[in-house]
Amino acid sequence: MKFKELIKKADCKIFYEEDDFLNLEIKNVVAGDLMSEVLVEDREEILLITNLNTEQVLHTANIVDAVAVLFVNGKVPQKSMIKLAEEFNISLISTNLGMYSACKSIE
Amino acid sequence: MNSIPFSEDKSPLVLLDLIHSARIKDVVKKDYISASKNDTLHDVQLEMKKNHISGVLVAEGKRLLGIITVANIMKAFELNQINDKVEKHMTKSVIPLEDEMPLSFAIEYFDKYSFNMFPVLNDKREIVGIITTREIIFYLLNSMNEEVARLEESVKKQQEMLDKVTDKQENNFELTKSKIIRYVTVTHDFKQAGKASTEIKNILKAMDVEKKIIRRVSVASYELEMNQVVHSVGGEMIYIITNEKVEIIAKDNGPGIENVEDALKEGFSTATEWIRSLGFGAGMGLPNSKRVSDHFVITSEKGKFTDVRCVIFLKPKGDDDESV
Repeated sequence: MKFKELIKKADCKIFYEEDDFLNLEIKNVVAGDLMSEVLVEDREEILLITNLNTEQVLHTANIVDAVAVLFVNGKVPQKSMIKLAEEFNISLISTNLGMYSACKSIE
Repeated sequence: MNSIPFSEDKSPLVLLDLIHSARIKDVVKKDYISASKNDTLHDVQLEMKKNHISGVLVAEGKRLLGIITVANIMKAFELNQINDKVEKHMTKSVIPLEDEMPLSFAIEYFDKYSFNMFPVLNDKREIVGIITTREIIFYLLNSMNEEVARLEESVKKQQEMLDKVTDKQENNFELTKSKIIRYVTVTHDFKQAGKASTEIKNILKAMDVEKKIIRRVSVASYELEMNQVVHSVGGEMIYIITNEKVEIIAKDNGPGIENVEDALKEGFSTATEWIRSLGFGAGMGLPNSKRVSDHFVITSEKGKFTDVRCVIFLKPKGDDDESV
């Protein structure tokens, strides 16, 4: 599944996108609100799905080389987070769906 | 005693310090308006109107006799007593504050009683002045302003100091072929946390280190950095980078770990609820940094410090032919 398909299906809002983000294939997904658990992950090109809405989400995503972060439950990233996303080359999207439904919408 | 109307556990120390260390005498308004017991209520009413105030002290010299408030005046109008003498209708059961009391007492009294003003007396029971919420608000705003300016100044100084240290070390790099980077961590400063790890990641990227290894260094660094931010009273992250390895030294100034063995178990954590709500404190920090390190040593003394050192080799073992 490509990111553009997910964005359509989960009705995501885009806050920051890297070049060619929409055509990128979703390869690996990690969902959770505990950043330490995310840090244990060793797969690459991760999509991080989380409820947590802090700058540390971006730092964590950067450490594990995530390609994108999807905020669930309609969380809107703060300006400082969008700035970090640009710095780290991580695309930022948000959906009104809850964690379970958001995960389920990925094929 | 639950005195002030906000939580003392969750408020910044600066603010608590302010309201507990300031005295009522620092805040008191000394140019108060007073009436004599022989004035008429009408005189007092005119005085209140002229000065836009809602209460007047009744005094004999420095001695407090009572207080006249808007409520007294209204009642006098109603009962046609407005030309009576003050002495006859003033409120005698006045609650005074003492000038040596901490400001928190005044805040507590305003919260407890519905008065707009309290008379302030000294230890000889003489009138010093009055206190209203207005005085408290102005005093707190001014003090907070000064305190924030002071904090900003100290952060700036600290950064300048760090810049100097880093500059020196950058010059050293040329001589020793190793790079030392230092970062200071501040308790609960979640805004700055992660910056050291980000910079290390960028340096290793520029050195063309293998992606998987960069990730291991970053994870160890970030977990240790977050540990200091979450648990310590502040500390320092030191990175010694050579072509062969990265050594991370995470040293803090306390409070130390009671039982290091426990702290290394996954899931063991002493973090509070609100830290957990930020996505950390799951008890995985130390085990996680150990997992990604080639060497890992931790020492700690309860009440003093925690010192974690880990080494990560930048080249996979058996691939060191080029380094000669």
